[in-house]
Amino acid sequence: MLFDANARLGNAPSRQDGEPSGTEDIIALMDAFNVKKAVVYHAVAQFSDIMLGNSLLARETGGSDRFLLQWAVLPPLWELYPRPCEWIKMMRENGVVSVRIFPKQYGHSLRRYAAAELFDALGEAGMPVFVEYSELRDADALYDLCRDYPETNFVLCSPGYRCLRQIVPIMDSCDNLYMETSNLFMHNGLAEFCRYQGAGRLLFGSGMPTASLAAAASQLLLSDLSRAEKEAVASGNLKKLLGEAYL
Amino acid sequence: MIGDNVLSGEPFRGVDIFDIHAHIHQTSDFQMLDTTPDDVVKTMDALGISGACVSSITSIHSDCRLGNELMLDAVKRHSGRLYGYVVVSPHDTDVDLSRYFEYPGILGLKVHAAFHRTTIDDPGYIPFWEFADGRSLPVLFHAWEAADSVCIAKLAERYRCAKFIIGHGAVRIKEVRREAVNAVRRFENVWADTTISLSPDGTIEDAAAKLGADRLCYGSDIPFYDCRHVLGKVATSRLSDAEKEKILGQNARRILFQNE
Repeated sequence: MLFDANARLGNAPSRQDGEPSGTEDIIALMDAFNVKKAVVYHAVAQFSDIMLGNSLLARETGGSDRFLLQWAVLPPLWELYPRPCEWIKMMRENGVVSVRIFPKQYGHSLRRYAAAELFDALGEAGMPVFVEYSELRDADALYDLCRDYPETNFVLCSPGYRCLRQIVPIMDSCDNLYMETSNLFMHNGLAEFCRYQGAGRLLFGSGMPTASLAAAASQLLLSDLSRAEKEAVASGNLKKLLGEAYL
Repeated sequence: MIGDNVLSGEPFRGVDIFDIHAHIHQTSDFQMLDTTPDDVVKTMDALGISGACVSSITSIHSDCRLGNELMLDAVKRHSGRLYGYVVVSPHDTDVDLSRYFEYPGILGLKVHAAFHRTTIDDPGYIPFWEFADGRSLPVLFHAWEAADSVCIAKLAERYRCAKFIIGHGAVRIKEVRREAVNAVRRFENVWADTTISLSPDGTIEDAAAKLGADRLCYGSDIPFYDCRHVLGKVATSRLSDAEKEKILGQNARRILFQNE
């Protein structure tokens, strides 16, 4: 059984031919590949309006227990957005147990002078922060993020098949960094990664709808990982990170 | 049904899988894993892949002739599992291609114009097109841009006996795919492969619908990419078993082995 750590609902500015659209398509794919639950954020929160996008999640998932809602968040700016403590309260009231940031898309700093209140509060609340590699300036920015906020867990999403030389040293240095597997498509990458780094910080993810659940699931299920390693990557690590109680 | 094994993690059985777009060796650009011919064959064994036609990344990224020699050695050592493309470069036209084709496991030419810092319409390639045309050989292209497929269509029109395979193009972004589809639909001597690192679910079905299952071939780009992900996408797609069999192996064998 799989838990998908990285899926998106809603409409992005563009889509590819054949790409699934809508919550029903996503659920059909989840059913086909035995995905019990998926962490989902909303395209509107990514590309236009963070508060609107977050609110759309609940509406479009209709309270389904197949989805683990993930809100996008921003560092404080005047009174334009909730203070981090207010945001966390709202998220708890709405069953949200993880957040996602888009520092490149939204053009905000990750440094302590700008974001300490946000990331420290999320760390204290035990809410992991998901971020795509393409949203970061470079690997050094990821390293700085993990080191600047050591009490906060970060999940690097869609790291890409070219990432090993950048990411492995950071994972060696930073216990608070996890990696999601969509687009981690180097040959035998999962097996070699687990061999050297252990399976404890890899989270299965699809990257739907722009990436393929079929591809991600096939890579994991057909890999040379042991049964225990497959279970950890497939769902166990995400359950631990988010807290079993919420799942 | 083909693909039912994926959920249980079992290898493929009872279906002939032939990878029309594979490599051996490595590049300095990023860290690749398990890149030797032995590594590639080991993965093929683990998954139930019958054969793969490979080119050397050394040929593409640095020394064309050295890589081709290493490829030839690998094909000889893994006879019946690995087959070979000779990489050709317009910067090195003084090469005796016929020598490679004395060995039956060498099946075609591979063109990666971008890494050779040129384009497919470079006149330096003309002797190679003529060679392929004269022997009815397949030519596999790295076709990442829409313009690549436009060039390939022109070649297909001129060199009717050669067989042109558009690598990547049919499963890339919309505008690239459009030109790849145009080329395949216009000319009977053009095919496309499934090789891509990142594309949505539904891509394979969409490509098969637009090209026809007879004109799409399974290719993985191993060891740049893990072959499992595209293999799984094809095998678990909503296509019929008959269509999957064509894409996974039958089409490749028809294109590559016609001359044997």
